[in-house]
Amino acid sequence: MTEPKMVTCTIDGRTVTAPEGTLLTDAAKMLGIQIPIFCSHHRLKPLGACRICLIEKEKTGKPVIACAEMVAEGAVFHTQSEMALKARKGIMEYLLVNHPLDCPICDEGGECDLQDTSYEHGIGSSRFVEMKRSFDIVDLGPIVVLDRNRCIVCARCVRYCNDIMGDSALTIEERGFHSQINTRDGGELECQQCGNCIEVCPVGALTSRPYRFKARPWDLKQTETVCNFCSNGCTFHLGRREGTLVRARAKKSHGVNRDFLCARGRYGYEFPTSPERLHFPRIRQGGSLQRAEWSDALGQAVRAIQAARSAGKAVTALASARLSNEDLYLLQRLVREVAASPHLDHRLEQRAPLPGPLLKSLAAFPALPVSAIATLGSALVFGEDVNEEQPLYGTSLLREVHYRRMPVVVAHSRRVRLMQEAASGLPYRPGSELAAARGLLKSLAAHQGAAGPAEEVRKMTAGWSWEALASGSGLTEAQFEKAAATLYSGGSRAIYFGSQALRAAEAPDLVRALIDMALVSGASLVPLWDRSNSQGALDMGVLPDLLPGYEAAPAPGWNTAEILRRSASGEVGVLILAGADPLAHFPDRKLAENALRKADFVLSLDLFETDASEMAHVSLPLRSYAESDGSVTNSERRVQALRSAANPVGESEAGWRIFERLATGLGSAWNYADLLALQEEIRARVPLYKVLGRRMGPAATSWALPGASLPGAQPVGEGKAPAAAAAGTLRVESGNSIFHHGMLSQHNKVQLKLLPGPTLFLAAEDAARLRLAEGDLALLEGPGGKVEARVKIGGPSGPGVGFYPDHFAGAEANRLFGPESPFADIKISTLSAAVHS
Amino acid sequence: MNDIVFKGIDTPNLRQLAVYEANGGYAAVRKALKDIKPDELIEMVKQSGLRGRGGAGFPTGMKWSFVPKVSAEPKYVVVNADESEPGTFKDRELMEKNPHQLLEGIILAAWAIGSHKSFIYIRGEFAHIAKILEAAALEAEARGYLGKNIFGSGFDLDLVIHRGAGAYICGEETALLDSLEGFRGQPRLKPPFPAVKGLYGGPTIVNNVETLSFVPFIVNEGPAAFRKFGTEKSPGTKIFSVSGPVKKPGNYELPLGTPLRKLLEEICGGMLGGHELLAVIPGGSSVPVWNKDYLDVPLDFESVAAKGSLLGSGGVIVMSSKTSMVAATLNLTRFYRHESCGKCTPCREGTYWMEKVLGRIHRGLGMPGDLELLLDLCSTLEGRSFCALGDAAAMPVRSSILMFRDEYEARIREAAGGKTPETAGSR
Repeated sequence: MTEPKMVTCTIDGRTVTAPEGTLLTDAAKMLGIQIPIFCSHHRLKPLGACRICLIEKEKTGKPVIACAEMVAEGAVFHTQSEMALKARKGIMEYLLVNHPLDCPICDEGGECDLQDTSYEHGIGSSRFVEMKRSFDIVDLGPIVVLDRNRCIVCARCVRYCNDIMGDSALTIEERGFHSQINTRDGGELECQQCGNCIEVCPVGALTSRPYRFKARPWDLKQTETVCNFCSNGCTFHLGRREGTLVRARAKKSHGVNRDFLCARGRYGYEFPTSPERLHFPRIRQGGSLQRAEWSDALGQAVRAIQAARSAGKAVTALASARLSNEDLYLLQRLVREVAASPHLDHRLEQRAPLPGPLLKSLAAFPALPVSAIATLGSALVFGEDVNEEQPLYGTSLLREVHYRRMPVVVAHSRRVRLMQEAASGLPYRPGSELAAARGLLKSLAAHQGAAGPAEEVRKMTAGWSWEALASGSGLTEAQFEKAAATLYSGGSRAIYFGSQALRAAEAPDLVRALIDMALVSGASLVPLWDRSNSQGALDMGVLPDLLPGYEAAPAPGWNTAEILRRSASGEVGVLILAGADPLAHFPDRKLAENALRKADFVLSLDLFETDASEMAHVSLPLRSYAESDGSVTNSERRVQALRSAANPVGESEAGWRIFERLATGLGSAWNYADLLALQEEIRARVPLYKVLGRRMGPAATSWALPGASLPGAQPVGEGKAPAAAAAGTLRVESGNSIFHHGMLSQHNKVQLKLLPGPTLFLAAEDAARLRLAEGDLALLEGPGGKVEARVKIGGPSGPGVGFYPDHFAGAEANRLFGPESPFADIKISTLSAAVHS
Repeated sequence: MNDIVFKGIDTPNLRQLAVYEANGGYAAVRKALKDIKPDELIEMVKQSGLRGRGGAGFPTGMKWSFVPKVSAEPKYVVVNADESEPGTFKDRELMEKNPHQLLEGIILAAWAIGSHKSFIYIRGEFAHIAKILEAAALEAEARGYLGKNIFGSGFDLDLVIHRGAGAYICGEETALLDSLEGFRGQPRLKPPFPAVKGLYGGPTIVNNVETLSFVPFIVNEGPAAFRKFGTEKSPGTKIFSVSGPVKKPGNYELPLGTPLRKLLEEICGGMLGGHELLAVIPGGSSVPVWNKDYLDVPLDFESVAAKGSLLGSGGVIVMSSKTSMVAATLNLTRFYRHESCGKCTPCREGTYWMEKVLGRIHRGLGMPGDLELLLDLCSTLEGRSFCALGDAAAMPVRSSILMFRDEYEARIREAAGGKTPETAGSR
């Protein structure tokens, strides 16, 4: 890439040098000069409509708009000259012609761009004496309230929805001063309900229905922390009023996401202060769990660990990858050092978890920040519905596709959102991820020559037959060729992969193929893990075969499946479930049930009652992320600070404190004065985390594996081709819906409005074939059992593949799917047809 | 009079290809495709000094030369036939009576810039004219004058005739392009200019009907013949659409630089009986109005601008002493308020507010200070709006207050009922 040409110009008598093409608003910001904007937005292309950014440019007869004007060599601008001030004052007066003076009852009040700009440029009283226009206030669904009276028709919401989210749910109707915002058909919003339209609205025209009239910004105690759902690691500000969290809001100067949040990030703030939270330790007495003192509960756990050790039985742990780095680090110390056991894992959903050396190979690739997407030449997204699973990455990619037709290849079994707009799609058959990856690898290698890993990969792939790859994946050689050409058409490249790839039965070979693709094409390789701190769990060595910092464990222990199998066969003395619920997440639910039943002692730490916690011998109340200080690491490997935004619920305790007390109970001399002391130890023992506790958050750089060089070419095994779907069934897959994440969000009322319960998404053509209609209640029968679900047409489904998101207790995906594969052929029958009014 | 584009305009059946051709039609295209290289054609148009007849007067040859020679995206010729400027009806007659002259101009423009797809964006209300153009295009295509391999030259040009849906703003060239692409008709940010990135992102020239209709003449007779008419900086002829209480209103093609007095008194035969000249808007409704002191101004781009107005589209609107300037200005402002697309704040809110103030003055409810308010609104609208529509809305208001302030003040005094200015504000 060539360096941009630098241009020097003058703003308010001060010179600024900026790359050619820099907008005046941004150049002014470099000097600390704030030019007001309404229609302009950092993610959107300049529009130039609202005119509030008018400034003077010397030698131009009239003011120019700073939001679209670019720096020019020698140009002289004035933001405070008479011409500039008069122009902006005039615009401000126009904006207030039809704007109501209802700031005292407006949710935006105190955080309103129009209010702020009005203080700066307004004239205090209006010369407009006629009646203002007026509209009724309307609900646009469960999330958004539209008050057109306040709207200044800047079109930010419409453009954000269209250009950035790809939803086009909003539009401007009518013309001239009748111009007004509406949904496309005048009904409720049909979209991802991300609420970014509310966030970008510079006035109170679009406000949040759940937050409506709940608080004024100055009543809120706001704390900056990191979202606990997916691995994007979005920063947000949790707002608390009288002990209850009432909103989450992102700010454009903070975080990797700046002002972006998805629906679950924006509306997932309720569960930490839910009344359903566990408040007290409980001990099993006479078949049920009874409230107990901490000392008694911990004492039982300590004795159980001692008993297991003296009986020569295993002490094992399964952890949630939502726990903080500090929790995870101490858990692995407890298991490894105090209980002298190598058996721990955090990967519950993966059928074929990646072996340690492969994880280390992945860690050897340099980290790539999400912001790099803006300058990428091309991208491949493999086995990830990136818009549903990792919304920040999804929306960042979509923006580049919209704005500069960035060449993107999407390989997925379903017709996912990004694939619909991508230059090249590889819609492989469910379960044929490996065949699809091998085909693409063969095409990519064929383009590259001479030496190094490319040569090795080419030799390996040369013998693979196109017929086998095509019949295995359902794709053609031409499709692979097109995908390869698309990826090569950009300069800098990145390969992203995610949960579908990681949950595949052949995940290790698939990841080897992806490593080879990256080596051959010179692309960055970015795994998009599924939980907020999956990256941290890997880094902290909550793995059977890696110690913290990717050091090989001297004697590898058991992974999740092995722990559960051994437990079911009576070899496990203690099973610690640190926020983990294998009943909900492990593919083989029956095995998990047996494991919990047969373990001598089950210790559960969790936020809520779960099927697993209710089978435990001792259940401890864990603090949620919102009540915890600590750190989490996102998919950029950026270590970010968690800050407690709410008071702890009941007697709940931080995970690391619980592990510390267990260790001391077992005779260890652990004594951490505070979190900082623990972080100091992590810094000393895990060199990757030298930033921990110091400069964390978006300002921190991502860690890099010390002394790592890119791995060599990986041998890729051959997969089994999946059988065709059985007659009369629909092949169905599972994952996260954009409205929920894992099993936590079912405690959030707003998210339940967006997706209230078990739902089967399927393509219109499949619904027609199976005689199902939107809203029908259907009985789904699969290899794992039966569940009931509502039918929804569209979503991340099809064609030929349904989607059953996994979020609801009692209807977990593992009750429906068998343990063998992450998809299943489901028999669907209508229980009751939807009532259509 | 009627020396170039209106020459023989009333020849019976001129719409028919055979009649047009018998009168020398399509000779320019035959000649150009055979003997004139695209660059030479652009140079000819440059030399002729032809300036856009849609209102802005931008040099046509220069506009064509901005189109990149090599482009990855297709290039387009788009004809702006969205003639909606109040007081302007010249393109209408050109298309109604001599459609093939326009088609010939389009083919020449396409040849010059290397375009193979052209569009006529025609005002929605001109449904009958769209049919005329379609018939002409079909006839031309059937004869091999349009479509594939025109005149056996190997040059292809498709033509699409697209009717607008009734928005004045779509006469603004970038709004026209958005509308043509199927979006809301709203102006686009410039740069990039359409010549670089226009329709569907391809290099595009957008020319007015009258402008393109001049091109066959320039090719046939040469730039010098065109320059025989008009002035040095405004060469050639121009159609003036005269409306109002004159004896013979209508379209007249005259050399640029013809004095207004000659147009009104000689060619249009002066005012109708009982009418005395009060005001003239010389270039369509979007330009400043003159009082009767400006009759000796030569009608060319420079001279009109030097006297505080603009030649614009050449729509000469004549108003007599029986016209209320307050009512006329309110009428125009209502038009601009109705036609403001709503994209930018000053135009959307300013036209609305100005109409309210003018309306109350007209209804006899004006308040002292209203004229200052109106002039202030003009100054916060003019030069601040996204496109020229805001300027267009402000200029008639400002000029009519400046020229006819007495009438406004009298209206406001009547409203105050003789009260002092301090007490007159309460209604």
